[in-house]
Amino acid sequence: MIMEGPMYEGRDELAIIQEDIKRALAKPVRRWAMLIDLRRCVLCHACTAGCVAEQKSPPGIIYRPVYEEEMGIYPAVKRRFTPRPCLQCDNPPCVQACPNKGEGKATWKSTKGISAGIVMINYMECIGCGRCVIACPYKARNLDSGAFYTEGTPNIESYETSPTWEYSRKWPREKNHVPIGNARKCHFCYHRLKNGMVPMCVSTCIARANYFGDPDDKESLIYKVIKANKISVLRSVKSNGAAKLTFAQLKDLTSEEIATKTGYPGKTPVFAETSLTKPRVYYILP
Amino acid sequence: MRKVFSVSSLIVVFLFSGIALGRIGGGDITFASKKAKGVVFSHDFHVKDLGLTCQKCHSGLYITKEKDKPVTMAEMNQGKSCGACHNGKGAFNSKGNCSKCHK
Repeated sequence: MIMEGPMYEGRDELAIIQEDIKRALAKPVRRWAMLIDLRRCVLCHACTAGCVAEQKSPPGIIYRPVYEEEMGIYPAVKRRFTPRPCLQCDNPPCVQACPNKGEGKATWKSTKGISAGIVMINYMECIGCGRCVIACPYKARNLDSGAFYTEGTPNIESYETSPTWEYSRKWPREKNHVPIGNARKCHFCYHRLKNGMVPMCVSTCIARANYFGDPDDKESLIYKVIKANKISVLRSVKSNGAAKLTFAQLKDLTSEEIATKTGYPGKTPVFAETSLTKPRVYYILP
Repeated sequence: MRKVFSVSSLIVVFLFSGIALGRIGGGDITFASKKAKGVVFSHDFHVKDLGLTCQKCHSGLYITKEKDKPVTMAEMNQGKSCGACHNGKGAFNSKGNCSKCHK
């Protein structure tokens, strides 16, 4: 028997997604969304590693962790692996919590242009207060502490000190230069999308568990797969000892302390059919 | 039309690269004053050169310029706004050093 693998009508799904993105970019309006098929995820962490390499995320920042769960009692035991990018909610609690929200300000929900559908952050405007970090029910945001993985070794490696190109801008990684001190999160690789490229996590997934594109485009693969399957969304992400912090407590906490207290980047996903936050990342449960 | 577009996109590129290279978050904040000369607060100087973190002032002391009310010198001497650090202990005193900021 020949294994077909993750092919759609005889073609590699990644190639179709690439075409879908190019077609969506040619249209005047499109809103990005992601679909993750948990039946395919094998917990290889290639998306997490690819993302960290692409965004040059410092210690304490992981845009796309993969949660690992074990359910049931022996011998009926099941394991479920859930990658969690930022869900780019249509009704984002993080934006509501921001004291400097609004288009072009610190954070906003983009509805037009190439970024449409994405919850954007402007590092130049973000004051690093951390309110969005505690407002996100999915633990998708955290503050950049300015740390390096190779700190304390003879050399801080150049791959850590080189600039990131998030939001299609150059962000040098120098002492106290933004985004150090700012809230950071996944942005569907906006800089790659803008150039017609597939987001890094979608591209590196060895199991083709991700679909990406404009779900309003009826020709797109993501539309067809959403239509053919039962779709769930994330309602929240739980974690061990997750404390509910208040705004007043944030002032005296470092980003590591906030992460420890809130349980960033989360542990256990809670799925539901709908969520008040209206996420733009959909899941097919195993 | 294409030429206009390319020229305007070049300007946009310059604008953005200028901001990204020359400034760090926040940029320069100008405070207008009725009686004295205006004050320019430089994020570059305070954050990059002095090494203060964002959390030193945000969001305990300030949120954004639009959201915060203007402060008088008397209030500043009691430790509000700039006076939280500029009290002669953390940094030079706002009292008696008028021209250091109002210039």
